[in-house]
Amino acid sequence: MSPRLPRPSLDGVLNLVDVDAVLEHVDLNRQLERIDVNALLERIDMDRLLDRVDVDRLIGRVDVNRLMEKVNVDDLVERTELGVLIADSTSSVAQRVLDSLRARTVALDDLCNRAVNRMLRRKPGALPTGPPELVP
Amino acid sequence: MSRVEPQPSRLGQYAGPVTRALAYGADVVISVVVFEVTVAVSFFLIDLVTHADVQTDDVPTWVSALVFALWLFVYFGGSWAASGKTAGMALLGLRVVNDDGSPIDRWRGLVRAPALALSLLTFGLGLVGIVIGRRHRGLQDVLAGSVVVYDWDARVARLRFLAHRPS
Repeated sequence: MSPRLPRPSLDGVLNLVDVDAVLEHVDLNRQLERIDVNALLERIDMDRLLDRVDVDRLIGRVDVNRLMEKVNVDDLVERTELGVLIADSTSSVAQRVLDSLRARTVALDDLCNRAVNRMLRRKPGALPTGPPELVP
Repeated sequence: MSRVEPQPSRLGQYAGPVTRALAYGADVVISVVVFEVTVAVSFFLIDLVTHADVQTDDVPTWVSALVFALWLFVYFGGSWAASGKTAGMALLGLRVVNDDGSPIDRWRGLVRAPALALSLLTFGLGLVGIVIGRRHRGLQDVLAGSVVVYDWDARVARLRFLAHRPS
C-alpha cells in the first residue's frame, strides 16, 4: 500500500500561482456577455439591498438646483395634479381675475410701447428694461 | 371675460402707460370714496355729540378744497413714503422705487405727491414722459428721482393660469 500524500492546501496552491498573470489571460468582456443579467437581477432581494443604502447620504450628493433647472415646470403643471393643488392652495376667483386684469394691462402697455417706438423710430432692444438693481 | 395668459415675469421692469393710467384712475376713485365716507361719518359724529345740525354746505369752499388737497397728499405721498405703492398701484401690481431700483426714500415718496399735482396742473404735459420716455418717467418721477416698475410675480400667475386651463 502506497503511502498517502498530504492534501495540498488552497493557500499553498494560490501562493504558487501568479493570479495577476492568470487574470490578464481572461477576457472579462466575453465572460460578462455570457451572464444573464435579468436572471441575476431576479435573484436579488431589492428590499434587502435598499435597506443597506444610506438614502440621506445619497440625497446629500445630489445637486438639487441643477436637477430643478432641467425640470420644465409648465409642462409638469400641465401634466400632473400639481397645478390643481397649487391653484387650490394659492388662488381664489378674485386672484385669478386680478391676474387676468394685470396681464391684459401689461399686454396693452406693450402695444402702446410698440406704437410709440415705431413712431419715434426707436429700436426696442436698445431701450432699458428696468432699473439696474432690479433688472441687471 | 376671457382670461389672458400671463407672460413670463416682468418683475422689476419699467411699467407702461396703460397700467399706470388705470392705477391712477383706481386711486382717484378710492381716495374720493374714502374722503367722502370719512367726511360723512365725521359730520354724523359731530351731530351726535354736539346736536348741532352741521351740513357740508356750511363749510367754505376753500376749506373743503384745502382739506381735500391735504388728504390727497396724505393718501398719495404717505402711501409712497410708507410702502412705495398706493392702493390702486397695489391692485394693478405696480411699485415706485428710486431710479436705481432700490426701495424709495421716504422724502422722495412725499415729494412725488406735490410733483404729481404739478404734472396734472400743466394740462397733463408732465405725464407725456410716461408715454414716450425711454424709462416711462413723468415729471413727478423726474423731480423725485423715482421710477415705476411692475411688482407682481407673473410666474405664479402663469402657474395659476396653467392649472385652471381646461384640458
